[in-house]
Amino acid sequence: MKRLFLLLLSLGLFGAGQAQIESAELTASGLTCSLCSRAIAEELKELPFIEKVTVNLAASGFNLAFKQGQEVDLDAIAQAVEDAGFAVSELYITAQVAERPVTVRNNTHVPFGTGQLHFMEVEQTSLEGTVRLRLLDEQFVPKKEFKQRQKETNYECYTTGHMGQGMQRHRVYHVTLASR
Amino acid sequence: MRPVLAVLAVVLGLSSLAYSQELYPLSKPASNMPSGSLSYILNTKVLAGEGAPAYRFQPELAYGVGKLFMLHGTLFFSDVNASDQRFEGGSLFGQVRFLSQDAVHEHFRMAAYGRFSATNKPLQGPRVNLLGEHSGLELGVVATKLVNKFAVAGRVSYVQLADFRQGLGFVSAHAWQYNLSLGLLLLPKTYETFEETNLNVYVEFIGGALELAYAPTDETLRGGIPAGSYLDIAPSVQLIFNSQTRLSLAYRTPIAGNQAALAQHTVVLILNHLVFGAFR
Repeated sequence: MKRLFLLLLSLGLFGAGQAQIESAELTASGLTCSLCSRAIAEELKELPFIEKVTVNLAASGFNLAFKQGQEVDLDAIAQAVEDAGFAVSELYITAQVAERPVTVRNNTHVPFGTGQLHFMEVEQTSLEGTVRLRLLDEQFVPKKEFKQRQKETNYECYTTGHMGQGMQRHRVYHVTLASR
Repeated sequence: MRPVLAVLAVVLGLSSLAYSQELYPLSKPASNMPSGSLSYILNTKVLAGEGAPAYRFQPELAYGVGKLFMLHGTLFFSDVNASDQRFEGGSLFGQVRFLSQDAVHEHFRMAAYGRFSATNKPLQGPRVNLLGEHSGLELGVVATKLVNKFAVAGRVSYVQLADFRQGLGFVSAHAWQYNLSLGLLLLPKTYETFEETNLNVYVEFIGGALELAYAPTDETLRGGIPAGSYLDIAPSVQLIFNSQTRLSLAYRTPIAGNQAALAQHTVVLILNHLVFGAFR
């Protein structure tokens, strides 16, 4: 029982993983015109956890502010862009990863909300407070980049985006540290 | 078939050059409407040649069923060969996007589409036209390349003709249709807000071919389309207001081929209003 408790704790199911995403910046691909950008903005505004969408039309960039205390669903953000008819080519988030310092190594998992973060292309470092991360999963990078990374990594979770079975199955977001 | 190959070669050539805009007034690009969005389209055509001009009025409703699939339904009204405007039929169009290669300010996309048109007119005239004149089923593919402010699209389709007016159903006549559409975003030079009015200019080349002439087997029936081909040119300008409403003005005239048009000059005015997330 104690083991199970520890396991669940490590998976963040007891809220051990801090996951306060403060903001996000995304770049969409496949469009130039403002009608297309507006279609994306309208889809994003419909997500229940989004407070505000600020658009940089010339760069196909969208800055997202989130509602306080609401869980942010990054997959729903990608889905919204795809529903508008386009794709995400870059997604950066600014998030509280840990209240206490946490050591991050390449290809290690860190609890994050109800799921985990899998750090890629990082040197061993200690993280605390708010960090800026780039998402590397399939729906957040260009298809080519995903295929390239898939070839280079031995970790199956990069392809599936998930770990565990049954009730313990949870989302693993693949990220790398980004400069501010 | 030779003009089809020529257009394909030009499309492939241009797409490798790589240079917005793909909201062509007279044809559809491989990109679909946003999922869940609804478009109201009012399309008015003025056919001017010898004699008094004729008018076609074609209201259309379009819906983005999913991110990869859209449906258009059109009603046909006209006073072509008639003394007053009358209801003449309708058309159902569906398109599935099956290839998307997206990059920032760039894409190459392909889609397959089908159109079914039914009119209360016999299968006759100088050339095949599923947008108001004739009944039939059209199946085609379209490819679009967008790079920054330039977009080029090529389309090829096969048309199986029908005559529902005289109860013949699908008949032994088929045609090919193709087009090459080019578009350029002129204004604004740099985007800042959704409210800025956009100005796009387009030129479309629209062609078709009927290899074997059509005549009804029963001599007591009306109908007949001569074999041959046509190629029209259609330059157009388009304003987009509030990133939501498009107003397009096009002029279309034949430039090659032996199949005449119903009218030497056609002016088309189209108002297209997009409602995002119409049913949420």
